[in-house]
This record gives sequence, structure tokens and C-alpha cells, in this order.
Amino acid sequence: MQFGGRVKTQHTATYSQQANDAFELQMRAVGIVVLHAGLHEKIAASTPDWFTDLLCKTPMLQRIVQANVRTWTEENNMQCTQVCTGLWVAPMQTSGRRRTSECGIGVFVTDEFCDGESFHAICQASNADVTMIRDLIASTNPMSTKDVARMASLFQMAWNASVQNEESKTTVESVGQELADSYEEISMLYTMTSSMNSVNHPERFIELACSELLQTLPYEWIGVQLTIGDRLPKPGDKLVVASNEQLQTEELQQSVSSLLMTVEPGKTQIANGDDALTLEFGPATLVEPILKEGAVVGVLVAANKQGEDNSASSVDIKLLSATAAQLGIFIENALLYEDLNATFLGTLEALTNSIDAKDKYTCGHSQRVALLTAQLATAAGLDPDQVNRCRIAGLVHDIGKIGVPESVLLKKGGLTDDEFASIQKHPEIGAKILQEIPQMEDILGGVLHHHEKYDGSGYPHGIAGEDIPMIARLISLADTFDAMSSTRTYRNAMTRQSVLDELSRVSGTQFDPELTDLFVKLDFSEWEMLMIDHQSSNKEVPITLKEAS
Amino acid sequence: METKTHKILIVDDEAHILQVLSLKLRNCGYETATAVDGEDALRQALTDTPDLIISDVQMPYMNGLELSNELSVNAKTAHIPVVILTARGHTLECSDTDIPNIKKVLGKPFSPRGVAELVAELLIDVPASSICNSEAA
Repeated sequence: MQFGGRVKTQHTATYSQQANDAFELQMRAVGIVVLHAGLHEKIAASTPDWFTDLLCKTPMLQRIVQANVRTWTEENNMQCTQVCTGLWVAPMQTSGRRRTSECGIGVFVTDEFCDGESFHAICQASNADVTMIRDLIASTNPMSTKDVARMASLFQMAWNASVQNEESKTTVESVGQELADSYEEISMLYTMTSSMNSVNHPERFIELACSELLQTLPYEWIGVQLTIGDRLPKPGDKLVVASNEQLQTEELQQSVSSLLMTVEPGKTQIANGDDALTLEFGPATLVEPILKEGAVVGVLVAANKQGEDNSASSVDIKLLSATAAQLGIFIENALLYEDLNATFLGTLEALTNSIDAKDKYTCGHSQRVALLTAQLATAAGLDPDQVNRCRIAGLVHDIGKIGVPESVLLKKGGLTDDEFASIQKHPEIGAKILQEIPQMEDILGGVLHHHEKYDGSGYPHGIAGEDIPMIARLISLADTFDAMSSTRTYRNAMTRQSVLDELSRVSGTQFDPELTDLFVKLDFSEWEMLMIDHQSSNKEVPITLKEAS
Repeated sequence: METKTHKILIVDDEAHILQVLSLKLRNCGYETATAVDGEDALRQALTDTPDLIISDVQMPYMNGLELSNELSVNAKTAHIPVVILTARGHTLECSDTDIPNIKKVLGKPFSPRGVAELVAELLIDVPASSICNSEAA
């Protein structure tokens, strides 16, 4: 059983054969023999028997058919003609719409046939016994000669009705087939449209487009190659390809990339049988440009059509270009989203840098906390989207310090109770600042609770254990690690080992013990790079990075 | 001559859906019958016992869920698997109904190829009905 693909089925042919046979049987029942003849074919019957054999071999009938077959295939509504005594023919076109090289012939044999002057010659031509044929003909209860004209016009009506019926059935059948194809298209485009919101993961949408097309169109592989460089890190410049076969994607990538040089906006390239496209990718290969604001940003390729009918159909082309159009819109959106996201993150970074910069000792702190929070979130098994939220939360966790007087933030030595209370307000100020930004909704908890402690002795709400949002428990570790590892106004930096020892010591009281275990095992090399970077850009502070010996 | 094939009853009040599905399934080698509403379908199911029924939900006289229910309480038809087709947005899950013979709910627009694959999957262990008939006779 075969699914999919657009196969011109034999179904129609078989059906029409059956319909023909049925019509001929019906005509025989009323005394009419149906034969057919063609420009290059002899007169014949579709289901031969003694009667059709006899008639087909009748020399007068053969002569009259030979002389007239061309006219008969070209004209309709022709008169019933007498061939010899008791034998009449009514020619009919096989199709009302298309001109064919064939025609149908209704043969009327009357009760005068066996008495005619040609009867013996006719039997002789068939090597048939005269008496036997006479008996057989009598058994068919032949019509009388005066009925021929009436029967001929009835035959004509029946013939035309049958042809028309046949054509209607073929039309319904092909409309049904086209409708089924349209359903496939609609269903595919529906699936794609409902996945277009995945701008966060452009590669997923492109993969989906390729695999959906592969399921609908009978091609060996479907691929997308973009030219937008690293602007969308995934898929970047890599060929995305869907196929049921194992393909050498690297070789394909080279060939497809070269197509990008030749493709023109709004023009589908179709392999025409012996061109370079056919040689490289196989028959009926289609190359559709993907456009963004009228410029080519990629190609969608359907290569090597499968099955017997290896020429590209209008459905193939239509569906491919509709998909290319959707890809174009999607890519445009994905790039806009990417830009927007970059602007958003850039703005946040600028904001947090300006706060960190108030104090030379905290320079780069937010970026480093963002890095460690993200690393810890990954180690804790969060998915990439959640990790990204953790990174942003880490970046903005101290944004509330904007509301704390500089005199307090930069004070050397001990703080008064009032000053300490004012510093302790920064998580709440931060949460208040960010609550107006819709994208920050998921991370507010991280900002508000990053100074809570696991035993409930922290601030601002004094909540404990799992009541502290996960995101806040992650930031808390990263924040403390970075603070202890840096020189502050009130003390020098501690060594790596003593920081990690200290974290482990307060695991369970200050920190989530499971997260602490994960944190002390993190790879800090990236953090170190950032630290060196930040310190070298701030020469006033001596490099205090201390490795545990 | 008797051939080995499954019989599928397609029920929908929209002619184009009947046409598309019958054509697709006939091309896949199944025998098909069609009904234009739930009542018509129930009558046919009781007399002809198809191997599988594909039914729309929204139909006059008797809708697809009522049909499935009627089929499931009749011993003669309770075993027949039913695939429900429903308009998108008209969200319906198998679990939304307590009707045990509903095997799958598909949303419209559906893929005819997808339906054919599902039918093959659901009938994989069901012996073709014409063979059953000849054994019974």
C-alpha cells in the first residue's frame, strides 16, 4: 500500500474500461453490436465473440470503415449508413471534448441479413459455417429494417450519454484528487503557520518546514540554505535538510551554496531534464528563493523527484513557493526578534554597568553573577530558556542599588543600623523598578529574594527552603561567591579555596545544600577571564585574583 | 471474485470531505461507503458492519459523538473503531469523551495522507472483512 505522492492512478483507466464493457453489454441486449476503429487500427471489439469476429472480418464493413474513419473521428452526428443488405453502421466519436484518433461504431444487423446477397461471402471471409451463423443470428432476435433509423438515434443518445457520464466521472475523480492535494497543502500550511511563533528557535521552524514538505511532496530531499551569516546563530549558514535517505550533507551544502549565486528574486528554477540542475540534483529539482524585503536571503530546494512521473507538477511548485514565502516572513521576524533581544540585553547591561561603575570594587559584578547563575542553572538541569531567564535575573539582581545613596554604598568601614537598613532595601527597590517590564515577570522573584537565606534568616521576607524561588537560590550562591572573591571597600579578596570552603560551611543554613554541591564543582575559568577583563579595565584596583595553591 | 479488503464507513455532512476521503482510501485499497449524517451511518453500520468508521462531529439529526455512543452500546457494532474529525478550535480529546470505541480525534484541516496512515495503523490487527464473511458463510 502506498501513501502520499501524486500518482496518476490506474484506477481511472480500469474504471473506464469497466464502464465501456458495461455499455457494450447493454447495447448487445437491445441488438446493437459496438465495435471500434482507429486511424491506425483495424476494426475490433473490446470483448470479442463469434458475432464481433464475423463483423470485423466482413470485407464490406472493413472497406467502408477504412474509407471513412478519418471523417468519423473528426465529426459527430453522422448518419447511419447501410453496408449491405441487413447490415447498417452508425459511427460515433469516442470523446465529446478531446479529439481522438478513435471512433466507436454501432452495428445493426436486421432480419434481412441472412437473406442478403453478401451473406455467403461474409461467412466465407470468417471461415464460418453458413447454417450455423444463420441459426446464431436468428437466436439474437434481430430487429427489422424499418426499426434501424429509430434504433440508430437511440444508440446515438445512449452513446452520447455514456461518453458524458464517463467524462463527468473522470472530472469528479480528478477534482477529488486535486481536492485531496489541496487538503494536504492546507494541512501542511496550517501546521507551519501555527509553529511560526517559535522565533526563539528558528532552526526548529526551518526543520519543520523541510520535513512537512518532504511528507507532502514526492522528493528525495528538501533543504534550506540561508545567507544571513551568524545573525541567527542556529541554523546560521548550515544547510538544513530533511530526507528519508542518508545524505552527504557537507557535499550537498557546497552545491546548494552555489545556487545562491544564481537564484533571482521571485523566480523558481525548475530542472528541465538535461540542464546543470538535473545533473547536480536529479530530475524535476526545484529551487525557490527565500526573500527578505525583496532581497535573496536563502534558497529552498526540493531535489530529485521520486516516482514514475518525474516532472515537476504545478502543486509541487505552488507549495514550495508558498513555503518559501512563509520562511521569508519567519526569518524576517526571527531577525527582528534577535535585534530586539540584543537591544534589550544591551540596555540592561548598560544599566547594570552604570550601577556597578559607581563603585570601582563592584565593577563587572553583575555580568559575572549573570555568568555564574547561568552556569549553575545549567548544572541544575534547567532547560535553555530557563537558563536564559536566570542569566538575565543574575544581570539585574542588584538594579535596586540605584535607590541606595552613594554615600552608603561606598562607605568604608562599618555601617550604622539605618545605613544597613537602607542597603537592605535594594532587592525590593529592584523588584519595583522591574515589575513594569512584562519580560521581567518571571525573574522578579530572583531579584526580590536573592538575599533570603535557606534557614529563613535572610531578607526582605525571611522565607526559607523551597519557599525561596529557585532562581533566587541560584543568584544567592553566585552573588556571594563573586563578592567574597573580589576586593571590597571593607576587605580584601579571599582565595578560591577559602571561598568555596566558606560556601560549603554555610550550605543548608544560608544556601540550598543541593545547589551548593553543584556550585562548588563548577568550572570557574570563564568567570576568571571576565574578572581579569574587568580588573584590567579598572586599573585603580590591583589585581586581586587569587588562585588556591 | 472476493478480494481481501477492509470496509470503511465515512460519515460527514460535507460532500467534499466524503469525496476526498473515499478517493484516498479507495486508492489505498480499501472499500468505502459514505453516510451524510449520524442516523444514516448508524443504519449502515448495523446492516453492513464496517471495519472502521470515520465521522465528523457536527452533523444534523445525530452528531458524531451521539453516533459513537449508539455504536458502543450495541453489541453488533461496539467493536468498530471510530475516528472523529473535528473542526479546529472545537478542541476535543479522546479523554473528553467516555466513549470507548473512539480511537482517535483528528482536527480539520486534516491531511488525507495522515488519515490513511492512521487507518492502516488502526486496522493492522483486524482481519479484512470479506474474509470474515466468507468464513462465516
